[in-house]
Amino acid sequence: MSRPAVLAARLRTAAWLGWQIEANWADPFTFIVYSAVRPLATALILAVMYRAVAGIASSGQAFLGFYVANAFHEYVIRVLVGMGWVIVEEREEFETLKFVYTSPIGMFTYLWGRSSVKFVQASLSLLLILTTGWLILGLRWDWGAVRWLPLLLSFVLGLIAIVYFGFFVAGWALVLPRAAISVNEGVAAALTLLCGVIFPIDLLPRAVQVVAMLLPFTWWYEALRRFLIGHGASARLSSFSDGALLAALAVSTALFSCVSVWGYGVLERRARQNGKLDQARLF
Amino acid sequence: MSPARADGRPGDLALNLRATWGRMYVRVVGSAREPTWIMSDAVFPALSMASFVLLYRALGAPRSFESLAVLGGIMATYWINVLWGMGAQLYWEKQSGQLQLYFIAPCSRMSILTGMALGGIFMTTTRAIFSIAVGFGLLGVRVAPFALAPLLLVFVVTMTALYGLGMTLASLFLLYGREAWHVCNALQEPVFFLSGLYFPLRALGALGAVAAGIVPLGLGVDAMRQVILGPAARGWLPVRVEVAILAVLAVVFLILARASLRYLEALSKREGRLTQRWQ
Amino acid sequence: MPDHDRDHAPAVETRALRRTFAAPRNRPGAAVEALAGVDVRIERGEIFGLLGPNGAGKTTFIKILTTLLFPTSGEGRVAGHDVVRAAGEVRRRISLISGGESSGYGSLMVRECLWMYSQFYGIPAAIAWPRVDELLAVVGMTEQAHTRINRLSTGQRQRMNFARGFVSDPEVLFMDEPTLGMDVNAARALRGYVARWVRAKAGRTVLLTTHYMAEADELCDRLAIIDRGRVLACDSPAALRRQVQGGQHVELEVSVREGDGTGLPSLDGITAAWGAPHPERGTRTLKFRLPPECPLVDVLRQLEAQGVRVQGVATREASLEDVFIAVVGRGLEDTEVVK
Repeated sequence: MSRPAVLAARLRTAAWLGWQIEANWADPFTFIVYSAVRPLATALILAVMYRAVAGIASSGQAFLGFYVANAFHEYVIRVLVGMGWVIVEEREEFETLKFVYTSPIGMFTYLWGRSSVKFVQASLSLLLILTTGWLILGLRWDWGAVRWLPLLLSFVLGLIAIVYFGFFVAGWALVLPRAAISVNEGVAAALTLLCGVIFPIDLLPRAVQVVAMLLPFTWWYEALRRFLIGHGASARLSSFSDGALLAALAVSTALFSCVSVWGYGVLERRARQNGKLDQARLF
Repeated sequence: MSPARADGRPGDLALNLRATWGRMYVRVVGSAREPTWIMSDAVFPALSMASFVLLYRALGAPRSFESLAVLGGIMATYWINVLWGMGAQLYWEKQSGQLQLYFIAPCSRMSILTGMALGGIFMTTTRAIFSIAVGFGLLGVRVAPFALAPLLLVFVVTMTALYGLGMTLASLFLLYGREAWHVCNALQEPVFFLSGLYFPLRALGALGAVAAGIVPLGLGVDAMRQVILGPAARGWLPVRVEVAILAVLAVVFLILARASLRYLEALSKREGRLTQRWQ
Repeated sequence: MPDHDRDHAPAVETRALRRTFAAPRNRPGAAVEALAGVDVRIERGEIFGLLGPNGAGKTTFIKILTTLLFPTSGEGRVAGHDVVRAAGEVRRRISLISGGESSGYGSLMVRECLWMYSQFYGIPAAIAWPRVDELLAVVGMTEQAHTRINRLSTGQRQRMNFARGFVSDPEVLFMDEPTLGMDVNAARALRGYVARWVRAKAGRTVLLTTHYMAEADELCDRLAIIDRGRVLACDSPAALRRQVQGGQHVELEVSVREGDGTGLPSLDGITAAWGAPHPERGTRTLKFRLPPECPLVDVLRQLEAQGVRVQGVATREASLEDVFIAVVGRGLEDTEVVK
């Protein structure tokens, strides 16, 4: 079998396993409801917060930008957190990580495959949140003004950053048994704050803004807003031209991905050195 | 404390008080020994809270809304503890083989759950200090001086009702196993929403009223906001009414927890699921 | 039952104890009868063993007696208390040690963890702490007393849990494969402790399930051999051994032809079983009991006639394994028997 065929087969196996683990506990209807409830609740929290202050002082356009970015944040929550969760689940609940690790499938391929179901879930959540916003909350934008090519390009770049950062998070999960679950969740919460998902990064202290601008996700949310609804959220980032914005996203994604792969390698070696790869203590 | 029995073994009250303290002790010492838990229980909820405060700031909302969000964020840590530290706990205990040791012990199961709850409240309160520091320190949110005694009363009643619900959820895990874990997972954010943690409860209208009758978090947060912020809390019902409803909910949940635990234990013993790790 | 009668009641008594597990939803009709009417009476002060292969019903029996599982029918009593109707009274008097168990909260120290368990039995601190220290010495963990549980090795966690079983000073101690996975020295030391513990105070009783014949032989005053949910024999180890005496126990190491490793040779009047194969020598062990009227030389001739070459002969006294084979019809590890 050729190398790509082997890779495809391994990815398929990991994806199949991911789906089985993710969905086998419920019938499809329950599973869909379960998958929809959390993202919908988060979107509704934002909507009611907005409504609560709508009559007092607020900007509908600004809120639309936050709402849209929050919808795309589903990829971070599902895929990135999910990749760390795979480690926790495999090692501490099913106690199968050691078998996966010692098999020829390779952890990157395996994590990539396992997280594919999370990608599908995140995409459905995105659609659900945007549809709810459009139909129920009246959050609308001009489809004619959408710039599809840069939108698609920035979307793909962001996904690459998420997947590679997912490896890094998985690496942390390897060295932090017990705490790994919360670290995964915490990374998503930290990125919400640092990358200005539901507010402009201009509100962060200056030093934190610098950190935010090193992260590809900050550029990602800004690019998605600009190319989908026509405006960003941050005054500081609005000074960047479209090209500069995409370039910043591309460069930070590349750097971030390299750092993530290196970081995963370091953490994996440390886990192996400290005997954490088969440490099943949580459950 | 009740005297020893004729057979030299401790009486029921002594037995159950010691069991409660034994189980609580795990969380009391654990709260200091597991620094990583501080991240999950304090730092990360505080990060979410900070995001919501900054959203209000971005929307140009009055500063009192930021106070609402900070108080909601603090109470969110308790809800997370109720879900994962109470509801999911018996599931973890089963997976680790601990549950069967509880079920062959002579103490009442409620004493174990009470120990878990008291330990959880202690642990979460130490964590909540971090959220208070972030909210009122880093983010610069301010509140006027307020009366401490009514706040303590509302807090105690809210915690009793909330952890009573947690005990009820815990027993459900014996029945639903892994599925219930997913239910817990699915309940976290929706309850944040239905309890109005980051906005005034009354903004939910009738939906908030229905939710408040089921999950005591919303009423508790609303009452605490009213005590601390006064009219700026944009309260839903008068504090007295909310406390009375919470007290009723507390009694109902404690009775429900005891009954459901007994029922589910019997059911599990009939079906042989009590000590089965994988299901 | 009045209290004074209970004081003299057997430690464990079961009558027609039956347990059936319902079929799983995806396999209707596959209900499993784990216990098929078990009658056992264990007197106070006994160490009683349950010997049986996997799936024999040993753990189900213990789960019912420790109030973790309801019986489908029949009756079980521990210290005179019904395990269904008076579960609370049963729990005050029992403890359970399961082999391979590694429970405990990672953030606690070993000493604290054992103390915590004592609290679930309401033991006052003045009694609990000295007892915990004494038990830690017994399991050789005094040095680890202040070590966090999540820093213990698997073996240390098992030993800690062994100590946990004694922390409430139970009247009846249930031990389900207690030395499973333990190293030989630790297992021997703990067996010694169990024997001393039972004799140290009148009325203490142990019900032990095990795979290990030697463990059962060394520890138990009486043994029940259980298979497919039924007690097939129950007596002292010596009496059980006597049941299968009256002939020599023979083990022959025989050569096995390539591709002919599974079929047992046919021997007139003898029930034989295969033992472990020895691929490095191309042989397998053939075990059987030789009736007094049948000379060994006749058996050797029969084997020669079937083309089986005998490479080694050993004879010995009856062991519990022989008893097991005679009663159950197969060894603990064997699955194949010919007549």
